[in-house]
Amino acid sequence: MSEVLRTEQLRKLFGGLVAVNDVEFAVEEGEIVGLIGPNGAGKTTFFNLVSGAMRVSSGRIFFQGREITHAPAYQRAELGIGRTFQIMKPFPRLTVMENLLVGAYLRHPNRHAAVRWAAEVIEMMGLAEFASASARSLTTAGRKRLEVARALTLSPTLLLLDEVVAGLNPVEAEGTVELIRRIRDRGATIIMVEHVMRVIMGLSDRIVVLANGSNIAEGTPQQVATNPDVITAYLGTHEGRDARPQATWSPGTPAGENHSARDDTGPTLALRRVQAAYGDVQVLWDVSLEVRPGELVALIGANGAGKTTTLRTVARLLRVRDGEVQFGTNRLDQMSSHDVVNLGVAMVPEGRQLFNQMTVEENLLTGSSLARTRTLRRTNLDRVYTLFPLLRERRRQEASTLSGGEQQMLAIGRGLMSAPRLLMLDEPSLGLAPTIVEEVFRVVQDIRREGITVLLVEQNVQQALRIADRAYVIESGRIVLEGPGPELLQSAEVRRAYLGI
Amino acid sequence: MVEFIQIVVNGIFTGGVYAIIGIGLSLIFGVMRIVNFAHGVFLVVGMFTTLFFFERLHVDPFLVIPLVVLVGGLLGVIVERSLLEPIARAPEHASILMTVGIGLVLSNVLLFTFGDAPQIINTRYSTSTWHLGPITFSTALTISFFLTVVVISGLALLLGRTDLGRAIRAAAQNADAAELQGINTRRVRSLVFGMGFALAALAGALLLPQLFAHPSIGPTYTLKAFIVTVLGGMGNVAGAIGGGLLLGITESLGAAYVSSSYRDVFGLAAFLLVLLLRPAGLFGRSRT
Amino acid sequence: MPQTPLSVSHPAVRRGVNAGPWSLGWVLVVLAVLAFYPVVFRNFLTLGVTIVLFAGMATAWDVLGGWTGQLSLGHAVFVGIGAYTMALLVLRAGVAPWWGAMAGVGASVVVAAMWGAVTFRLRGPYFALASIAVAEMTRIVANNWASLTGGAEGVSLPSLPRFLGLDLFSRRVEFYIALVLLGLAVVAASWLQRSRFGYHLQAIREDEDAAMAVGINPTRDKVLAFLASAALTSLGGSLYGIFLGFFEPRGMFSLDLSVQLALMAYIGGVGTLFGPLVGAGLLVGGSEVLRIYFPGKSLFVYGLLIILVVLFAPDGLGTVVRRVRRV
Repeated sequence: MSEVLRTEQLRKLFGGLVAVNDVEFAVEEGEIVGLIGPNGAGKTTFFNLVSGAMRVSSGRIFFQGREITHAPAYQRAELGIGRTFQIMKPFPRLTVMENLLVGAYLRHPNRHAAVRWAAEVIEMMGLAEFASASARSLTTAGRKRLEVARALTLSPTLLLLDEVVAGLNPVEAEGTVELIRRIRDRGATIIMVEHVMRVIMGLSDRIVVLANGSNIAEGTPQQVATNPDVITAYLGTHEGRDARPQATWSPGTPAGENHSARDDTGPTLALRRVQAAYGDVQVLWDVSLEVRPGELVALIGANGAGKTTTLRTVARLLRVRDGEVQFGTNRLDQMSSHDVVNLGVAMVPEGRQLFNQMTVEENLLTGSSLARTRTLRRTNLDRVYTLFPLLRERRRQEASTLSGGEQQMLAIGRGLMSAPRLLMLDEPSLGLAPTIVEEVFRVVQDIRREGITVLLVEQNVQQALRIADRAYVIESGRIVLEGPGPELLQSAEVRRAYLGI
Repeated sequence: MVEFIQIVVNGIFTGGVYAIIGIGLSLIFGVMRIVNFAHGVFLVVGMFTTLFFFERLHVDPFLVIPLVVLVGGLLGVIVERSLLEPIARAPEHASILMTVGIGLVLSNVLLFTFGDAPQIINTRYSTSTWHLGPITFSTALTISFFLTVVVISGLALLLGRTDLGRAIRAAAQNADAAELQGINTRRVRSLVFGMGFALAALAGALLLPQLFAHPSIGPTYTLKAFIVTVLGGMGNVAGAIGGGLLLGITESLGAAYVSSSYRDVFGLAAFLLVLLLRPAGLFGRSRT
Repeated sequence: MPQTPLSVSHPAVRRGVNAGPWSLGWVLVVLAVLAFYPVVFRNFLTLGVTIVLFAGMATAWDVLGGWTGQLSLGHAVFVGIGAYTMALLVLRAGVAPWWGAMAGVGASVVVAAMWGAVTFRLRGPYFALASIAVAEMTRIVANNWASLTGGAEGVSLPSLPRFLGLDLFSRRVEFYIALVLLGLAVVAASWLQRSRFGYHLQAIREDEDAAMAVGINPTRDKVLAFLASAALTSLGGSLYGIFLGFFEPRGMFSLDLSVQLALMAYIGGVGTLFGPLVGAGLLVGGSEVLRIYFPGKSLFVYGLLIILVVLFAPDGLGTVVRRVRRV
């Protein structure tokens, strides 16, 4: 067996952020290597570096012993590196057959031979009946297959598969898994990124775990799944539990009872059998959940399970395809997003989404754009500044100049400026240093103590469950588990949902 | 030296108006991601609206400016609601074609209505001047420039200090996040297009004292608007002020010292160079 | 490899690629029908030449704009280079106009190579904006470099040698030359529809990143497409010069002309064989009709049509024709 791919000290910086950090990586011929890691670990960036879609900041890449660090993407394709795109990139107005013909021509300049090769691939991928349909008319499953098929037309030595299973229903997923095996049997070496843990644990010969851009573990699926570092990377840390002020409630007692400021008369958020999709890509299949006044509810689940989509659907950034979203007596699914805010439902989006070229204070003022909240602006501003004294100090600074933790505080503060009754927080601890994460969780508890209902989406499962009254577990767009936070903390089901074992 | 200063002053006077055109285009691009190929025609609409009120109502052209701005704003909102909102999610070339079409229709409506003859406005003070030392100022241009400064300052206050201004900037920087703050971004888009049209119409009124009005001159000013915004950075409103002044002065100096027939080449060359070398514009960082 | 039939039986697989002779067959049918135009519409020859000539140039524009997806609003540069190179060589050096046209093609290809190499790293509206700037600068230079171009006063072609015994100023002759040019452009387009190079261009248009991932070098292929587009447009420009007999930089290099070529392709449907022809017929024919009723305001119909097409037929009116192609 010979080495197909090797990276040396591979590093990619985005501004100040280290997305891929000195990754050393080698793949032998004929292997299936699973590349896993929590959100933002740098998996897709790593693919982009290997395929040439992005330039490396430093380090070197070798393919079959030959350095390709600075070769353009099309040369790497010629050499035999095929890839799929996580955000699928078919050639939408070409037919499925033509999509494959584009790649087939690379190895078979003669038209007859190219058509034959494309036909062979289309047959193997089970796409033959769609051959004359335009790529844009395919379903998600079809498009994902097309991604794989197009990469296969290059007869690649190395195939990079980016999330080709996530988003498929179980039958489709099974079919794709079978295909990947067959592709390997035909002699290709495969590196795959996949959020559906069951799949990647079952398929891979070897697993490499990235977290915050670094290679933190490597081994067989079993070794990796029991590796404490990996579990920590996925489920969050225990550390700091004792360092932070003791929570004002003890696990087991109904959590709301210690919160005097709680407003029991507030409306309840209720989702009933909600389905939602991005274009043709259906993400939510069956989501029912309830957040009652004064509660802190956590929504947890693996990457790509539909957590963010659930929040976006409530906030009406996404159309509800089927089902109902109700807040008190109001049907949110029939409103526009700014009206939802007006009812008192605020969302702090993932990745902060600040207005970067505005000052801190301007960001906060924008949070109180509604007529309803404009009169309370001074009071709310004072409340936010009391909660986050640092923001008061920096109020004339541009948002983009804040540190990650400060930006998160600003995003939360901006959400509070609309005087919400329900605050939805999407991954507030994402990408923050451990001490800041503690701070964020403290703030979340403070907020709910002020009587604001909280719906929390978090990747730091352990911490989230510890502070949550109740939690829901979402898997592939369906709510699969519900229960009191501390109880779920012990649940093997949760671990299975995350690590696939 | 006196001559040089005179030329720069003239450049600044014209450049101020260019800035107004550019600010409108930049606002539209920033919030709507539309490159408005009808922008120069909006300016011509402003010219003819002014002429119309001046000839029919016999009111001083500077006094009808509020009316012109109002007409421009209304037209802008109507155009946005009826023609641009329906294609908001279409691919980029759709909005380019749409604005090209809007420009052709508007300029031909002007042609039907006002005829093919170049028109000029004649007021008592059209030819009057005043002096500051050796430098000569045209009275009409001075009034224009004064209004330009007032309008730009007003805009700066609006964008910087008011809820509306923050809503516009928020919508430009991150439309989803703006919706999450309760901002009706659909309304903001209509409003911004209305403002863009109104500003272009205003610029038309302000340029009237120094130009012949003709329905066909729109594309020339669309091009100038592009130059101004690219120099300042697409979507960068403050940059558009710098871009406008720079273009005004460049044109004025180029015409005086190199060749007046190549006057427009300097702006275009700068435009091309900035596009290729500093796509984020001369004044400011790239925005994502 | 043995020349066995496709290893698959599914009929969709065959339909999924353009079957080949069909599209070429349609091209010949359409051209043959058009060949009867001068016989049937004896009194509307000028209109016919205009439609066919603009259809040819719009099809040439479409090689870059439609098939490759690079929106150029500066193609008048090549119309102008074609017309001026031909005319100036005829007037100053006594070169035959057809050799002049060839020289124009050479000049256009050189200009396109430089232009493309510099501006193809711009994506989206920036490439379109840059193309306007290049075209406008060319126009101003042509307008002012009087010693070379005759400047704003323009040039006129008093007489031309016969081409294979034919009078080049005859509308009938011009019609058939324009038809040959259109044929050339449409055959080129039908080749793009199914050739390896054509698939490269279409892949670049659809998604540049994905195209690179299957081994396509987008910059090289875009430049090649630009060269082909420029060469064909330049031939059209030479003929346009002869057709007009007298022209000036203001018209030949104008933004309006560039925009018209793009609009014709879009109205008919970009990236289709006959879209530009349909668009040229509608726009030239439509504005001609309008000219009769509202003299001098023909561009109105352009604007109206483009608005209606963008709103109601975003893939162009010629998609009807495209559906025929798929039969």
